[in-house]
Amino acid sequence: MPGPAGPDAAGVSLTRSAWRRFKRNPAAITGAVIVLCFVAVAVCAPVLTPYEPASVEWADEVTLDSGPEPNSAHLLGLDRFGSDLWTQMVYGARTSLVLGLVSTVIGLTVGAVLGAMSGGFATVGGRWGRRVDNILMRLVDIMLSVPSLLVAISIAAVLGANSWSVILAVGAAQVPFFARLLRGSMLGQSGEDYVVAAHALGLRKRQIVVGHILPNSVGPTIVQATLSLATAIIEVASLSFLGLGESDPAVAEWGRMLVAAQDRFDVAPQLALYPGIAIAVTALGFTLLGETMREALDPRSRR
Amino acid sequence: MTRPTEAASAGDGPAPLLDVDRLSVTFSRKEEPPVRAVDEVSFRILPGQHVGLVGESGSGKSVTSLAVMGLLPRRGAHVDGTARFQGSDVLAMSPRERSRLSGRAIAMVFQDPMTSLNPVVPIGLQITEVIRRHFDVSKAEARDRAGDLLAKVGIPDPARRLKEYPHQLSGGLRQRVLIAIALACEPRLLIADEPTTALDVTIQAQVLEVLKELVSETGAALLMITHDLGVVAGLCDEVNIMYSGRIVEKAPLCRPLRPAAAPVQRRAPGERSPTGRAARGPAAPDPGIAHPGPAVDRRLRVLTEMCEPNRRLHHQPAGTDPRGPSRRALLPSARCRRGEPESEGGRPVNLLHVRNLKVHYPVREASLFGRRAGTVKAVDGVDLDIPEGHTLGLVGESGCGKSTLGKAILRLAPVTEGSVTFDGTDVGGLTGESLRRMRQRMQMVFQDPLASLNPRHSVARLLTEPLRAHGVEFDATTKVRELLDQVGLPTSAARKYPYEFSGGQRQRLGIARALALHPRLIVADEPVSALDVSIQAQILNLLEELQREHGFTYLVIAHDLAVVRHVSHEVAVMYLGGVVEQAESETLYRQPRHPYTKALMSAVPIPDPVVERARERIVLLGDPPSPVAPPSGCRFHTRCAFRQTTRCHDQRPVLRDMGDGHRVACHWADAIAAGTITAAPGPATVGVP
Amino acid sequence: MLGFVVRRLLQLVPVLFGLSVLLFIWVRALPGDPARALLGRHATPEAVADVRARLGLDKSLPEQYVAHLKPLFSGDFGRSISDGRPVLESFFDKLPATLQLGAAALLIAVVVGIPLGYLAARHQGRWPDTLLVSGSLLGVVTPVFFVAILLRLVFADWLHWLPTGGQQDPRIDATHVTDFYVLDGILTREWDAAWDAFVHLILPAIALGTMAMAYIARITRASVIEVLGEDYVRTARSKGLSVMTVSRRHVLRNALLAVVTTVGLMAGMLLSGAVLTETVFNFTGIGHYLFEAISTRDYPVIEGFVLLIAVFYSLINLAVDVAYGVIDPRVRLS
Repeated sequence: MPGPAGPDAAGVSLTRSAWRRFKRNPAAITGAVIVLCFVAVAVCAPVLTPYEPASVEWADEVTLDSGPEPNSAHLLGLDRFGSDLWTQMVYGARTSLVLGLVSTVIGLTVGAVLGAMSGGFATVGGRWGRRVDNILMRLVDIMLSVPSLLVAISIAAVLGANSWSVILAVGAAQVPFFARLLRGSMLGQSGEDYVVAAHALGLRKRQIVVGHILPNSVGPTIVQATLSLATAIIEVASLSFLGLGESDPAVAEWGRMLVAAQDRFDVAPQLALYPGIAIAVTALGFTLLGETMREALDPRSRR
Repeated sequence: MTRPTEAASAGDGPAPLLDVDRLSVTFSRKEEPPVRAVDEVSFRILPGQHVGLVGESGSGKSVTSLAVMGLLPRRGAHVDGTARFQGSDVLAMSPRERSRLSGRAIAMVFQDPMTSLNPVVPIGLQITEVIRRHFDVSKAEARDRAGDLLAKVGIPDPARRLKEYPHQLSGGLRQRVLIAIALACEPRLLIADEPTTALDVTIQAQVLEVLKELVSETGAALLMITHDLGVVAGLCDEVNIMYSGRIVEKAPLCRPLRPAAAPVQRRAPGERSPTGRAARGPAAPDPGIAHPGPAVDRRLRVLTEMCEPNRRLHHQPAGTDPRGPSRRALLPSARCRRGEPESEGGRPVNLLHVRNLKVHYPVREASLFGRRAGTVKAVDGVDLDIPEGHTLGLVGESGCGKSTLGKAILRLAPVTEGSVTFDGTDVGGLTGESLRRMRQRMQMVFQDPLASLNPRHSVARLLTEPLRAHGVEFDATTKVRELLDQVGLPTSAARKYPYEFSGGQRQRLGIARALALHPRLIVADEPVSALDVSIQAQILNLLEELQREHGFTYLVIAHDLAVVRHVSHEVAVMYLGGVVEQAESETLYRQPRHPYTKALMSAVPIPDPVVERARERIVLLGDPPSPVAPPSGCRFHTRCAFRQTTRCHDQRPVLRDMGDGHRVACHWADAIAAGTITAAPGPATVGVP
Repeated sequence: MLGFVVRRLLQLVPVLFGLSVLLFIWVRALPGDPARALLGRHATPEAVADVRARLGLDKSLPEQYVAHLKPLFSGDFGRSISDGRPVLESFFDKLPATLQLGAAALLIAVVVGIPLGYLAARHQGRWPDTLLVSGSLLGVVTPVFFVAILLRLVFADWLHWLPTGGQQDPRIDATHVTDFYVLDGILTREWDAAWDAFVHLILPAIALGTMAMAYIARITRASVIEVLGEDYVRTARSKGLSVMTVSRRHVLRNALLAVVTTVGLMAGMLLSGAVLTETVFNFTGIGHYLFEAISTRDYPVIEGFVLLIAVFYSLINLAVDVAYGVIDPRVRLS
């Protein structure tokens, strides 16, 4: 079955045909729109609000039990410290994006390097390679013996309450998953006939790993990274919720907004609802994006 | 055999059991044009009649049977027409009515025994559930009946087997269980959908034997769906041939299935065929047959292609090879062109020289838990020589070690013991860079062309990669065009990706890549088994042409005797890690000497009903033993029909030359050839796994 | 099977050993002085030195580790800095509450999630499926603590149907046998105590169970869809079996195997989620205790609890594997 285009047209690469399937999926579009909005808000935060997130200049307008209704000056009203809620939300998006993205990138990078090394050594490294692989995987086993949020908690608890400790904690908790995933798909690919063919053609081992096995194995890892962004954003909020997040009040953070709103949500439930919904919707966007990417990349759906 | 069909020739005859009239199935998917998989198909099955429905993959034969059984997906499939079973249209029935019929009056045996049984339910329950669904019997009665059924389909120790799970049984035994399930309620019609396609040829022979016996015993009608005309020839009274959703040919099976007999128009008007149904003039075309005209041509082609391989295998008078001059005649020219040296006696120099090759590897039981270690003796002491420019065919059933042998020769599987010498160099001793250099001269063609091509690389990149890896200077455009041209693909293919091609085209790509480095030896592992029969011949011819042109040496590995015969000068037969017989192709096929080879050849069904029904067949006992614990002595003695009380079980026979280069590894080969030892008449149904 | 369990337990030893080394290095060797962290920023150098000596921090790291490891073998995980109780004792004290919560959440997840997933798969592509797919997606992406807060807000703070937190009304004088409060009430026939404990359990269990339920529903749906396409289901249909038999014996029995394999994963999620849920509902289990330890930077408790949770988590995973071996005939325990 030749491609849909004419006989002389260039062929359609796997990535391009996956992209075509992706574009046709409404769930993918929904996810992409959510993620784009989130990123846009985070990037343009200073443009979207005239105030600083740290500003508490309206503190005298709020009492413990009431605050002003939303008005033109304060789109969503004030929180109980007298900060503008809209500003907090917008800058909160920025914090979520930075913390979530940086921690996932760290987790992905370290995990992928570990996994690629492990997978590379295991597939073409001979006996010594398998030993290296074994040692790396035992390390991963140790990290996996504790549920990931607890890994993050114990790391953040030691490092103290600041943004870097959150990033490291959430990133480190993701490392074993990426490592294991990439190694697993590399081992799976190494048994495929095209890898045997590459050996038979006399390609160098390094080239077989780098040019054949790795490019065909990264798909699931990239998908996982997208899904992990959702988890990372939730975990960042969870750490804040447990008092392990950024403690600097000048940094707006959705999780901490939730904690602060907790005591008073019989009078001002919106203070809890907005950040909670924002976290869920952002996570939803990344999850939709990741899942539809997985579907699009699945060779079984290739037609 | 007297069958009700004989009576049907009288005219009216009995009412048909199943009358399929203008059955059409259309699949529609979102955003895609609907596909008409079955297009106005009509056929009838009389009570007790055996009808074949034959076609290549995608011809709509399976969809037809699934439509009749009501097993098509509820959404996406649109069924038109009628299928009257004993007078009532099953297509119009409610699911409830139909479920009373399914498994009771109409039952079905499916293609893949490995996936058609529920893995987590014991076999006993899978049989008794259908009995208890349709008959009001107690659990104990149903179990007794299930035990009887297992015994009938030739499964030893039924009481124990009833408690076992499918994974504890081999493929052959599982297919027997499926037959037992289908026949449990003594249906009036049995639909068998490619029941033996997934099985090895000797196991296929066993299963067909059981099926044939039980169907005639119960008097059920049979609708046999297959791509193999040989299977139909031995079993059916009538054959319908399907091509792209239509029945293009209907024929009674009174004569060999060969193209010359296929066009019904050629028959004289007064001539009577034994079944009568097909004896009709051209003026009265059967409504079920597609329009004449181009279709005649097409069906001729279909029939020719489908008949060809297996007929080539048997009953071919010497010297009348339809493919022209024999392979031997072609050789000198190839050698002359390359100016290869010849040793005295006219035999060319051996390019590949394999001595006592062993590939053993440890196994860990692939389960979540246990790690029972053992050693698989995949290849256990093989000697082979392939002269330059020759083709050696290597045949054997799955698990015999033929693929491992091929890979070990190319150093793609670790060699445990023995030597592989290629063009004077000991390949086994090479490491690192020198091994990499050697690979330029030995290449491989894979079974699954799509899996063997990196899906992310364009054709141009795939073809030039080996050249770049070996630092060969080349002009990409010319080289790619040249390679594509050699395998008969257009230049425009260069910018496409592997998945955009058809199966045959992909295999051409695989061959082109193997040619890129201009190797001298090409190991082709099942090069055509993933392809339809009509495409197989094209690929095999391509391999032959390339050999003629470039003087390549081939090791062709296949399970299909016809494929190997097609291309080989010499053929080696493998069984459980060892070569049991090796001879020049023609000699081997005309006069197999080893009992295993004899059984293997007789297991292949012949698409000629007269010959197929008359011939004696050797049916092997049971399944092949495991290569983890091969039998002592002759590895074949546990299943051999010629087994003797001495030597067979304690001495391992070696290959002995019986004259003219015909080498056989059997202690009693001479006596068997002389006729002093004959095959023990054994029941076909004994099977000890 | 015994051999398998023993082997797996032995494999656990190096993993836990490695974890203890990692935790040890992590807590002591990273920048930041535990003694200073303990005493706060304004402590005098003498006080810091004193605490360092008392904690053995003035010795070399390997020496410290050996000193640290020895009591671990005798089951001594040290004492909490804030309440002075042995860590191991606190862990076993708090474990029943968390187990009870986790079990209740898992029960909700299984009892609701599996039928929903099955229903969606049978109606693949139609409205019940769409509804479930979107609903379960929401369940997966909503943070546990947000669900918990919302439930508390609506059912406790506004409607006053259920208590806002705690395990049992302290005014009830209940006898505790097993420390599983609901079970205790039943065993001692103190029905009001059992009922009160049950009422306190409802909201936390739903909060924690929602996410697990969403996961289970999604996994069930996916695996039922896969099984429906299997050849053996077609075989079962060709036998004319009733829809009920086909679903139960051939579809669900196979589909649920995939669900069982994810119970281990689920246990991890539930343990993590328990920390958050218990915090919201003031439910005094290990999660709540750990949260308090985090707030007070009580390192012996954090370290000990993480290690003990790892042991516990590994044991759950082992149990899941054993259960899988028993359910799936293809897997043999040797």
